[in-house]
Amino acid sequence: MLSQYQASTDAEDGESGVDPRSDKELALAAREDPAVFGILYERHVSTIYRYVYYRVGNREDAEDLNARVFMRALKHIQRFDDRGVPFTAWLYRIAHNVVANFHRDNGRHPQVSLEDMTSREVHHHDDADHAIDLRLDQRRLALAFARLPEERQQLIALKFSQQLQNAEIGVIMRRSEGAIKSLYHRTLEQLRELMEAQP
Amino acid sequence: MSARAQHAHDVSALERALAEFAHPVAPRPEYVAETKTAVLAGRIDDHEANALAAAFVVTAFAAGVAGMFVFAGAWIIRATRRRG
Repeated sequence: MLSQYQASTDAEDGESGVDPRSDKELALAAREDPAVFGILYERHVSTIYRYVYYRVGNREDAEDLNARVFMRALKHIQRFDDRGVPFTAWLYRIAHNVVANFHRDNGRHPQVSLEDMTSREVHHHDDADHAIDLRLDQRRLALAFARLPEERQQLIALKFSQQLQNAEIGVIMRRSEGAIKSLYHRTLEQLRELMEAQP
Repeated sequence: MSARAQHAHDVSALERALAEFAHPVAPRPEYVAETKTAVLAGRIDDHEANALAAAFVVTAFAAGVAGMFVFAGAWIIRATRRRG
């Protein structure tokens, strides 16, 4: 499964069409020349932004935290080595820490942008009743998601906003594929219970 | 519908809702460009350093308080022995 992860990274590399070097080669080069980090930034900025946005739920915080993720990655690029952990996984771990610190420092729970979700659903569905049902469901889901523990939110974000496989998520979260599968089912169960508990 | 089938149906519906929930978002192009420049110039305020500094201050304060207690304890013991 990890080869698939690597394959997706290689595909991204190819799509950029700017630099043929792999993430690992660029990261090692960035140790000597920080300007090379700019290529890694351009390659991964959208992916990491999407992940952070999913975790914080609004553009303003997502932009701030996304910038911090790359700042921290550049600062610690000397520590990166590719012993079985792809650069992307390393970046996701940094992103997770930055988001977790943000929630802890601000003493607030992860939140989701309900307004954004509402407007999105209205555009997608012409039938007014159906749109209202969906908005209610999405609102309940958003509230339930915000009440999940950090690691379960991380798992859902990686699985749905990044569409990663269990093995890939396992590398990022330092768990086996089986443990991720099990955690995923427990998370869905908890989400369902949280949604049902809402009025 | 059996309980098992109902559960599978619920899980499937929940997964569909989560997929809709994760709508694609993209950073603003001007943000991408500005942030790249700021990151490479080291101009992003990352609170990691501040957290380390705060941890150092808290540790130093705790060590100071512990030292005062040790000193006070030693002084009391000494004073008690003198009286005895």
